[in-house]
Amino acid sequence: MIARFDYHVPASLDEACALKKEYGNTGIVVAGGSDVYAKMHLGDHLYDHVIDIKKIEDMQGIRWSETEGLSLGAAVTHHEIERHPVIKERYDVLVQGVRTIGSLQVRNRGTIGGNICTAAPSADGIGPLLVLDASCVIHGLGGERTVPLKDFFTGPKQTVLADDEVLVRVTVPTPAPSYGGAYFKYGRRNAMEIALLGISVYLEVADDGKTCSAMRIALGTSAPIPIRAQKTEAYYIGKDLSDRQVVEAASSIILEDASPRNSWRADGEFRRSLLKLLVPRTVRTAYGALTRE
Amino acid sequence: MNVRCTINGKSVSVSVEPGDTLRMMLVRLGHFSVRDSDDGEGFAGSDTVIVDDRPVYANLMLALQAEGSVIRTPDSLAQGGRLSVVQQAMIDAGIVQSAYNAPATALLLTWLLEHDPDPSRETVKDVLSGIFVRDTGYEHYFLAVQLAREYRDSGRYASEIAPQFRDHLSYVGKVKPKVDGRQLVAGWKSFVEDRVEPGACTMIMLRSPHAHAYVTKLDTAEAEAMPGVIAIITAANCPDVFYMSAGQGNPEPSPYDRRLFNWKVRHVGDRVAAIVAETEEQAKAAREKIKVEYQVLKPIFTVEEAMAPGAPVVQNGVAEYLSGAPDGLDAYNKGVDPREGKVIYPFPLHADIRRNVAAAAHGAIGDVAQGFADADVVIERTYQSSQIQCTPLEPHIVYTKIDNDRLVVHASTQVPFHLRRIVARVCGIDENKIHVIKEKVGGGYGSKQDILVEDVAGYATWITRRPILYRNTREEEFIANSTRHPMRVTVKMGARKDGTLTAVYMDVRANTGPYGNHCLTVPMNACSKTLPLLNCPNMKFDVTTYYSNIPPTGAYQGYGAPKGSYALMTCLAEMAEAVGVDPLEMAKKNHVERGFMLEILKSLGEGREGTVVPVGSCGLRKALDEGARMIGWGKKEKAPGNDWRIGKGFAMIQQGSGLPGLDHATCDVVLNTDGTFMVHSGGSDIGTGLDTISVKCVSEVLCVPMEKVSILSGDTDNTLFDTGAYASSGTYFSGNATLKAAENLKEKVLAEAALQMGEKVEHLVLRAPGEVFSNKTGNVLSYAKLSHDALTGVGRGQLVGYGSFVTNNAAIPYGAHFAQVAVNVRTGEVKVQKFYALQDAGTPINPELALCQMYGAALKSIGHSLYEDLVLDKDGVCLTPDFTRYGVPMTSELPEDFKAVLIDEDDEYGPFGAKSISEIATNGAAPAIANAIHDAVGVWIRSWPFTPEKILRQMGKIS
Repeated sequence: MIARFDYHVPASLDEACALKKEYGNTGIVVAGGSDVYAKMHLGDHLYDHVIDIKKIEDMQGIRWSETEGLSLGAAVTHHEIERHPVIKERYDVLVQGVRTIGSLQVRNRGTIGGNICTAAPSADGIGPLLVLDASCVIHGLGGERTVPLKDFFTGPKQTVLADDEVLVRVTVPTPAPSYGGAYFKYGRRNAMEIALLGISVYLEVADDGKTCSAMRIALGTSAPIPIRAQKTEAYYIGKDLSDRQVVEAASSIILEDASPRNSWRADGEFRRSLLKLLVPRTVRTAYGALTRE
Repeated sequence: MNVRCTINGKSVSVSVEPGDTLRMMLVRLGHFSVRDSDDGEGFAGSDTVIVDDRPVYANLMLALQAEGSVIRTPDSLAQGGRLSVVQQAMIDAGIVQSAYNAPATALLLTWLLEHDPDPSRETVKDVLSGIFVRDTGYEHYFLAVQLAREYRDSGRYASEIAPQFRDHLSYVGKVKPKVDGRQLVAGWKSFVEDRVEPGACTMIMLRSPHAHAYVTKLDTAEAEAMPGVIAIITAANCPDVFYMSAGQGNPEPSPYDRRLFNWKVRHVGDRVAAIVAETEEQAKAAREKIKVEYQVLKPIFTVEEAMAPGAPVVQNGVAEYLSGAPDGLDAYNKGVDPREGKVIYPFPLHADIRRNVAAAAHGAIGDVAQGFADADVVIERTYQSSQIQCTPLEPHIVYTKIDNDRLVVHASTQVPFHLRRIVARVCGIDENKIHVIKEKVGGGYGSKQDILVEDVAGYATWITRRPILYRNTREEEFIANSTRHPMRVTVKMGARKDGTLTAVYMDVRANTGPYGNHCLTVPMNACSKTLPLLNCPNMKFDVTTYYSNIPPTGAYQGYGAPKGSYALMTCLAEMAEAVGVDPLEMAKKNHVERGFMLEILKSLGEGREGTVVPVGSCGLRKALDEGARMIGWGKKEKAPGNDWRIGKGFAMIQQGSGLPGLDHATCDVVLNTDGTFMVHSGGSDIGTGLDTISVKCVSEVLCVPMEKVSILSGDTDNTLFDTGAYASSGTYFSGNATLKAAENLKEKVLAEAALQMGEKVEHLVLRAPGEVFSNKTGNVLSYAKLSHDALTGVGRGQLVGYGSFVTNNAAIPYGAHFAQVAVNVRTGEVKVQKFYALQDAGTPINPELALCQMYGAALKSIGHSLYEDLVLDKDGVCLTPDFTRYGVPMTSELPEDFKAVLIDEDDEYGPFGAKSISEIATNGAAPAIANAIHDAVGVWIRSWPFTPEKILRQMGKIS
């Protein structure tokens, strides 16, 4: 037994929200469980109530249309995402991100909703969704609201979810027909590793094929929460992305967006030097991956 | 609550608690092949099952979540004792070794081939991304998939599994299924946890939160009154017996510096109390109620801190000597705080515990001062290694019980006989009262050479008479288990301009942590398994080992040699640069060859004078030449991009094969009544295939198929004495003992046959498939009839062969490891593009297992060199108490081109010419990669791990 708790399987969103509100800090909402149960094994976070929302209908499935964009149920697994033909074709940067999560066994259980709600600064699924301009559909006892993902995180492992709210779906607009996306994870090892740095880039260029018309950059493990690098993004707009020097000049700005500090895993100076180097490099990779219809 | 689901095709309805994981439910239903290596971290994959056609970790699912699902477990694969194609292919490929997660891997690969009948290497890699193995380095997993495909498609294997050796032999040197492969891969009962009976109690530990403190108050009254509590053992009620954990030959070259529980704790995680209760939950509840107060002392963590004048003293007890006590001991012991306990040396190790010196040793040959004076160039460099965890998949575990009024210990150990001796000492009972049964060992690597859990569990069972299960958590493995000693090794080297070495000096400063197990011998090995590679006439070493408050250290595959090798071989390359000679030429100029008298060995005995022997079989030059050819030594390679630089490096390596003059192995082989054979070997197969070696020796000598030979090993009641599986002794010592027993039995069979057949012995020979043949008369006597007639009323009794092996001869394995790395000059990343391990193991008796062990040892030492690191905070708290944070190599870390090559040499002393194989393979990666990094970017990395940060700093890219 990993812990003693009461196990609840709400049949509806309202029921889930009511349970969450009722149990407050003594309860935990769980979908796949790959984060929560791992912690319970360590005896870290012990809860009296587990609210299993894995089978709630509204949280299931991947829906997509050109006009509505992508809608991912919070209980959709990483594996479902990486295998989905439309996501592979149109949202490749997301596939790049979730593929670096854990192992096959973890991706088969872990959900995108769980990745977001655990709110780890290193989460590999969040950065790509940030640059794809994703939004969170949140259900509470008072009704539904939608919050841009970039506003979802409020502090270390903290989110905007109220006591009675759960994440239901993640919506992602249809990206431009032609864009470049890239996810770069830097770690000591290539897999089964917590990112020392995770960089996600989404960019669009004008008809000339090189002038940046849209740029979104997300940084993982660079701040207490996953963030967008807005100053660096602004720098790139209107710049010639085919010019390596121009792309790399952003390294002088990037530390205004994020300035990682010392940790036992890496020295702050090293992490900052990596950011300066790897953000432009990931932009170049994304530019190189520019998809054209 | 009830769960209804389908398990392996059968519908079941099971009652579970909400907090039960799926794994717990499955194990309770008898599917114990669903194992646990990581306490639900979701890393190692031993708990892999298939749920609704998707592989998942059963530890990370609640049993309740399985409602309505279809589940497959590893034990579903073998049907009525018949292995599946995948399982058989895994055995044949050589990857079923310690095998704790082999069943899970078999399930995963089976699932893969069902969905992708012809998977690419990348797909296999990805599917195995959540499976951790330490012993076989993944490479032959691809071969296993390939073999399974071939067998599925054509009913036979087309790929070569491993090269085979010695055409005149039938079993030795041939690829033959490992004798315990079936039970291990199928997931049948094998390990300690499979022996636990209903009603067994659970024991857990209360551990110290402080790195260095006196226990000032212990109150267990409330805890003892808790429901289900059987016993609580602490410093207040444990036996006043000092001992040490290392399973070494007696008298041990390590001090007895601990009791079961001490009034002083010496590292975070040190034992404070053992709680025995009916259930784990009750034990945990009671643990909460134990009140402990500490007087915190200043801790020390490094050799430098331990050496500093006025440093806190870690072991400040009464020094005693069982022999050779130095003068002035009374004055030395004056005023000692009784809470410090004692430090008892079986014989002097040049210790000075008041200065934190646990042991010291010195030695030299030739005239080092003159050698340095004769040199054109002298350099001095210091190399630092870090603390590395063995990380066996099966954590330390023991099940103890009373049977027939004796203590029975089901152990996962490398040293059943040392274990018996040490537990007898702790319990204050005689050895005849203890029965140690070595179960299958799910990974040892040296960490199970120490008696880390059997001491407390054995004592607890002895006093309570209750059956007790104890199992380390994964965190306890990291904080309270044995690790590689961190070492600071300074090498001073002198050479002439042409690259000839004139003098070598090694100064080894080792950090033994809180206790002195292996404190002399591990650091000695840094010298004794490296200096004898060099033919330099003037060599000297000083070894000093210091106590500190880091987590405990001990034996780990390589046993000091990897650190010595890193220092000496890197320094040799640094010297090559200094004198302007190609490093390979430099190596060739200075290495020993067959016949060279190893004078240095005289001063490298373990606490006594060593025996000088000449170099015997030696494939060192062949390994160097072949490795250089394979890697294209001297050829510049094209970098994969502007920011990348390519470099190549290598290292010469050696180890030993057991400890000549110290180790001892005995064995008997019995002729059964039907003409088959039973081997009783004292040797401890820890997954490496030692039992298979023993069976092959018997099959070879007695000319019978391996199926006619069974083996029981490592059981103190039922097998004869053996010092155990450490110091690479298995093949050489235990193997030779079995060989001698088989030869002894052969003589007896011939003598008995001569009597029964009425012929002379000299006319008789043994021949396959198990009979005695007369060259003179052409008569044949089957073993079955021979045995039958020997045992029927009028016969002369059962034929038993006995073998006892001791030696002063060394069978030294040699080799060279080559690496090619790409280093990114901007990020500092290192990619191991090529890694070639070339080794002379004499005759590889199990060539497929040998290759896999070379891959395993090479990959783990790549991990040790590049990223593995046990990190402590300023108070000594471990920041890396799990696999993810500690960082071990998974499939994703495989070198792009990874090859293990067996160099063919025949040894005169090893059984059928065999030498040891796997320990040596941990010695090459660090220096080979350090040298390759230097070749790529021009900087020397002189400390483990070679992180990107260090490389950039060394390159001046960051300050």
